[in-house]
Amino acid sequence: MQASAQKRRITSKQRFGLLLIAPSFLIILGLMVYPLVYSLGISFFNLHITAPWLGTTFVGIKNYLSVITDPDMHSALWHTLFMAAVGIGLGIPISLFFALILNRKFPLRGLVRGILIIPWVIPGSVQGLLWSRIFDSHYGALNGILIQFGLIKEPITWLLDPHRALFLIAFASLWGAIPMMTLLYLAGLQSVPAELSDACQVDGGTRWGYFRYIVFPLLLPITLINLILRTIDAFTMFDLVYVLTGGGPAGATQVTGYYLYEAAFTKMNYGYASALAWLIAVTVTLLAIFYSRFTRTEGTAS
Amino acid sequence: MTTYIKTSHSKWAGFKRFVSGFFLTIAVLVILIFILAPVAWLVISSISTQKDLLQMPPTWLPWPPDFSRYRELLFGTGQSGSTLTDFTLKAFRYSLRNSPDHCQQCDCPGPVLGSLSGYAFARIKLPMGDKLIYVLLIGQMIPVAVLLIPLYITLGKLGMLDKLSTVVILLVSIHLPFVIWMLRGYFQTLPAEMEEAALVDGASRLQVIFKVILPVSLPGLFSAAAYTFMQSWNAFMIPLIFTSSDTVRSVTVAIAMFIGRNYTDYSLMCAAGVLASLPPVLLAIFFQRYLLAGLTAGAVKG
Repeated sequence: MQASAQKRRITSKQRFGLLLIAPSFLIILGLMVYPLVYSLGISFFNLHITAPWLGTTFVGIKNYLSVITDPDMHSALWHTLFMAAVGIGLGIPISLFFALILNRKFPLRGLVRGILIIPWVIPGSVQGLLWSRIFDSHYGALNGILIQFGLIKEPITWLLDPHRALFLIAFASLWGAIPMMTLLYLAGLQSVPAELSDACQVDGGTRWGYFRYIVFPLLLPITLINLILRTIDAFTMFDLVYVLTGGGPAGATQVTGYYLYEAAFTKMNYGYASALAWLIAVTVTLLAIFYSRFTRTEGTAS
Repeated sequence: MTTYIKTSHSKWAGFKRFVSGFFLTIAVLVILIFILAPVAWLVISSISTQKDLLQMPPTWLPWPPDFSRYRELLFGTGQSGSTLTDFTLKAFRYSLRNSPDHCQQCDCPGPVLGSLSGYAFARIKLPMGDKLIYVLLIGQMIPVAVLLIPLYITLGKLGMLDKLSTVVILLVSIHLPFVIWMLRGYFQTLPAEMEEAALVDGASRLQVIFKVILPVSLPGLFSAAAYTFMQSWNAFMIPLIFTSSDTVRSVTVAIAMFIGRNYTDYSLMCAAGVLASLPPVLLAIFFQRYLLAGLTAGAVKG
């Protein structure tokens, strides 16, 4: 009896704790939870922003259906998945390699690690500017290098070619993401006990075996974080597309994040855009759950 | 099978060490080129003359360097026969002033609110504490775009669009969950005895926070402040959507406008890009240690 009463009563210490978190949670409630609910609401309506005399009409799941059946949306989704695939397929091996190198001892290692974070802290629009000066079809540095070494005679139209543009944007986005991915792997590597390496050598294991059966499984939680971060990035990608191509040429670099921006803030189609935003959020969450299942089974297998 | 026999004094071991050192050096050089080459081209372009850049291949190392673009951006009148009109020059300079402004304003409330909540989560067993922590995690995961449409509608009705303070409030709230998460991780590393001693000595709970905890938490607070500053400086989508006049535009959006208006004065654009990147890059290099500890701890635990 007394125990249950004690359980229910909030101690003065707890009341103090609630007071401490109250301001933050008021802000989170007002500027994150409320908009979240609101956007779920308007995804079932047509707001007629461009024709206000029509008022607001309830359209049920029509917005969701038109997102799902929209062919432009399908190509945007494929481009996004391609971005995610490049970010994961190239990003994970590159960042893991960088981390393994930076985890070894060499002179000026601290300086190299400091330089490593630079791409991550350069503003997205400046990154766009930077790559636009490299991929420029007339006077870009990439064409300059290829011509300098005599590999090509005529400049290549990098971003004006639909097939190349998508990959180049994926690569540019990867460049900005590599620092964080590498740092996460570095943090993970520091938790791998050094004795394991010695034990492996005593048992006659190879370096590759040590990496494959000991280091890699121990890094799986980090790989999971990197998978999730890359996927979120691909689905919300905006700055680079806005600056470099604006979704072109001919929609070849249209991705879900940019498509959402256009639907909401240039076409002013709030209901449709809210439905799209929710579908993106749900897709990302489902992918995150799928990854964590996948890495868990992989972890127990090895 | 490889056998590991201790032969550290033999010539063979010396040769092996030489080879592995050689490969390590190559690998570190690859990392440095991957990270620095694109940045280097941005910086070189900014100190090139128009003639250096508008040829194929470009002049890779222009000599003497031409700093006239920086002078023009910072002090110029825009009438020295360049493609930059007085109007855009003013806009860029406004934005150079706006960005520090809104970052400073974000920098104050972010870490203060974050440290109060972070402390509560680290030290006090709150009722429903686990569930509130999940709210923070989800707050970190949802794509910002989902929130923007309802916020745009609501803030528009309240007449708060195109104001610096609106951008500040939005940036603070969006980064608050991560800041709380980061500081919670930091406070957990502090020993609890200190506070208990202060409480026994008759200090109030609030005094404990302000007089005991916060003074010894300066590294954690610095990393939270540096994180908030960088995220606010680099923010692109929020200032793009919520501001429209030059007087409140952020520098990242101003850079994107430069590119969008088809300037051909590439070195001027690149100089603007370098100026816009300097604050976050310098900050990241100076606060590297604190920042990385906070970031990776927050992410790895998540």
